Amino acid sequence: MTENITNIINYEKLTGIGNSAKTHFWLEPGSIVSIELIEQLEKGVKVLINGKLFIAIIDEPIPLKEEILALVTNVKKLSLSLNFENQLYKNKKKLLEEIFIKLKIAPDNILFEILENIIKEKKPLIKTKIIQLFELIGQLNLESNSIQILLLIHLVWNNLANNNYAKDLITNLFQEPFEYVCEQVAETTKQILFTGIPQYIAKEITDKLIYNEDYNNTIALGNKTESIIKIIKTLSNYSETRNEIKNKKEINSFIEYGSKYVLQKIVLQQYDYYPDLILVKHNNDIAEINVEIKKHSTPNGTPTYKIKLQYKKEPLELKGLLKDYLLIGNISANINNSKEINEQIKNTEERLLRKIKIKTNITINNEVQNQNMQHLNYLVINKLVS
Amino acid sequence: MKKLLEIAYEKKILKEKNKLIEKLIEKNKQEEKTIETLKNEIAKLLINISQKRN
Repeated sequence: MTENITNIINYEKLTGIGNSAKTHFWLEPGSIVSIELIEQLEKGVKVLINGKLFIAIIDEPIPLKEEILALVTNVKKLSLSLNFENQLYKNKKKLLEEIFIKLKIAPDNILFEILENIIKEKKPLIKTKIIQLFELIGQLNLESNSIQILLLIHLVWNNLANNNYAKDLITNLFQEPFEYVCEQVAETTKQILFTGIPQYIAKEITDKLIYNEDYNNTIALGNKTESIIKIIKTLSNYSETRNEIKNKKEINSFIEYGSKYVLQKIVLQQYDYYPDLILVKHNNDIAEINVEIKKHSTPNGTPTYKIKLQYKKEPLELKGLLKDYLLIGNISANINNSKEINEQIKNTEERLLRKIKIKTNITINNEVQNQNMQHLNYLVINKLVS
Repeated sequence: MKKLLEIAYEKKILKEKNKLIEKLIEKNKQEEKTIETLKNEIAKLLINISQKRN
């Protein structure tokens, strides 16, 4: 059945489609349809929706002659959405099962998680891209919930996965996840410091990489790319100019993982991921804080940042969302002395307002042991992101 | 380091390096400052909380 629509006055702005086809007879709100762009017109595009021909306005840059899944959001004045994220939080299992049926792909648990990631990354569900991604992940033997998968999603959707580029990148640079690379940087840093290194090198490492509250060396909290490159250079010079050194293995290991840290960060930042590692002097040991910051672009152009800083080896973390100069954050911790902590939070809020004009609302969740509460908080943050 | 970079170069990983770095530099400076400041301040807060707890 073919339906030609010539009146395009009432078209929705975003992925809106002409309303003269009486679509409410054959479509249901919330259902998933298969769309295919046939031809770009002067105004609008010819598109097949579940096999019926329409002329539509689609703002998203979607390739021609590709099968794409869309969500029916309104049937009387037919509107479709390419964003499934809200639906994902309403009924994840049902949505993912329906998508797999529509794609004619037999799902398993891993594919479920990967599809969930594609939706959370706000990528249009283009069938050929999804299949290409599934094949690549199978060939590269990656874990479903890793940063490599997220990187691969961006590479595939940006047409950078052809000519073995994505395979080479993952195989040679991202075979070990960023978090593991950070662990190795932390571990080899400790090993070098504890295996007798000249004082000038130890000082360079501690000054640039390990934050010490007594010295307030904030360089160790900031972007450490430059610092690590300089330390690699110092260690290389030291290693090359001596015939025998007892900690050569540790030095080589730091150079290897430090290089991976720098290169992985450069690539990940291109896709709006800002992960990092912070080392902190903690009594006689070195504590680690994992940083995850992800930027999301919104249709109105205002970016949103999802933030997570997690103290390793301690039940202490902050999850937050920054949007329109407002940071809403929640600290999960077992805290007894909350009066002092509240003062610290207040000081932090004042500094953020003074330095970068960001208003802040940071709360404390004492029930860190309560997994349900943690899960709930995470969901709230996810909803805010969407 | 040298060996790793050679491998990376051979595999064309670094082919896009200059482009990527240029793009990075072009990114809005204010945005980078925001992210860095935010990260530093929150990290300091967590460090303080950790020390108070111990």
